[in-house]
Amino acid sequence: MNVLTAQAEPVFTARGLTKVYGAGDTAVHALRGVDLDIVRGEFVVLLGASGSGKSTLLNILGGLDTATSGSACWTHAGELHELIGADDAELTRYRREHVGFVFQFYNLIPSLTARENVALVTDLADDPMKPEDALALVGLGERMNHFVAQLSGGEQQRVAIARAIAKNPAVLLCDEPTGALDCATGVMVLQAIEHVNRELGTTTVVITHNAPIAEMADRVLRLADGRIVETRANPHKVAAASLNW
Amino acid sequence: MKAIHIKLWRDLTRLRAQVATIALVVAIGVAGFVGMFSVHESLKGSRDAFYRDNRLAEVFASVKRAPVHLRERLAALPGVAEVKLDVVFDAQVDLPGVGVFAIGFEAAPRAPAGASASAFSMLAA
Repeated sequence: MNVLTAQAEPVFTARGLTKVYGAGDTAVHALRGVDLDIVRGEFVVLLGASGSGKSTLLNILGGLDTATSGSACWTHAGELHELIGADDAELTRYRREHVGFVFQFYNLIPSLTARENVALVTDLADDPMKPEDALALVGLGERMNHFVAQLSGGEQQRVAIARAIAKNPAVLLCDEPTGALDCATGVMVLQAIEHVNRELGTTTVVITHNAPIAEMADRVLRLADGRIVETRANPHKVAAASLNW
Repeated sequence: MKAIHIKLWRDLTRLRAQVATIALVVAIGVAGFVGMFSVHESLKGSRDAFYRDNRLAEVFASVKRAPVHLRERLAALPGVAEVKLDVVFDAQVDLPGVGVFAIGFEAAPRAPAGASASAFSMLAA
């Protein structure tokens, strides 16, 4: 289903995306011909049960995985770049320069402080913001010199978000960012993501199996069995602060 | 200092006992290799000095026939300083009161007609 509006500039365009793991009787069809358009600045939630293909789709869009067939293009500076068939060097450059990724279990470096974890990315990026500014954006300006073990789960996830946005990415991809958190902490994390999407205009895609979170999105894509089975626009999206699950 | 280098320094500091142990094992291994290499070089030098001081041959070859007329051809080979046409063989001699012992015999080739008896010398082993 294609809900691309006439005025919006597409960031991602996917056609017939298919991903098969393994072969023969043990083959797993994670994606079965997905068509997708995501416009610049949009907040999209990929909703679906475990095994529906959400993470596979996100990993392909983020350059962490390749599709078995189909095409996935992303647009930058008016140029179309094909992700399927790109070699390792191209995908690495794409991930490093244009993609911010937030994982369910943070993946922070324990031996570094919050500021140093963000600096890992800013040391590599071409045009990053300061680590201190990224941490301030997620409300952790006062905790930047604390080590990871000295931070709560929600604070660690916000450090991960700061690390993802510090490079000023074109897209922010979040794979179950609140999956390991309770409701109150999860709301804080979603507020940080919402703030980044609104203030920086970063195209944001969030994966979740938690239906209430979909209410804060511009558009919700529901996946089941490797296909997009429903696309729903949210004309009156809800603020993250009012979510509850 | 970049964050990745900070991480490296802190990880090495946290694992300093393990790092020191590994460094010590590597150092012992290197020292052992250097020691064996030095002994080998020293033994080679001693062998070469002994050979040189005692004018021992560098090449040994045994033949079934060594005609005398080959003397000039052997002397003409590059690097040959001297040609001695002697026959050397080992034998056991049983002397009364002494018992059996092994010695090496060196016999000069037959002298031309009219000359005195050829030299016959013994080299005690």
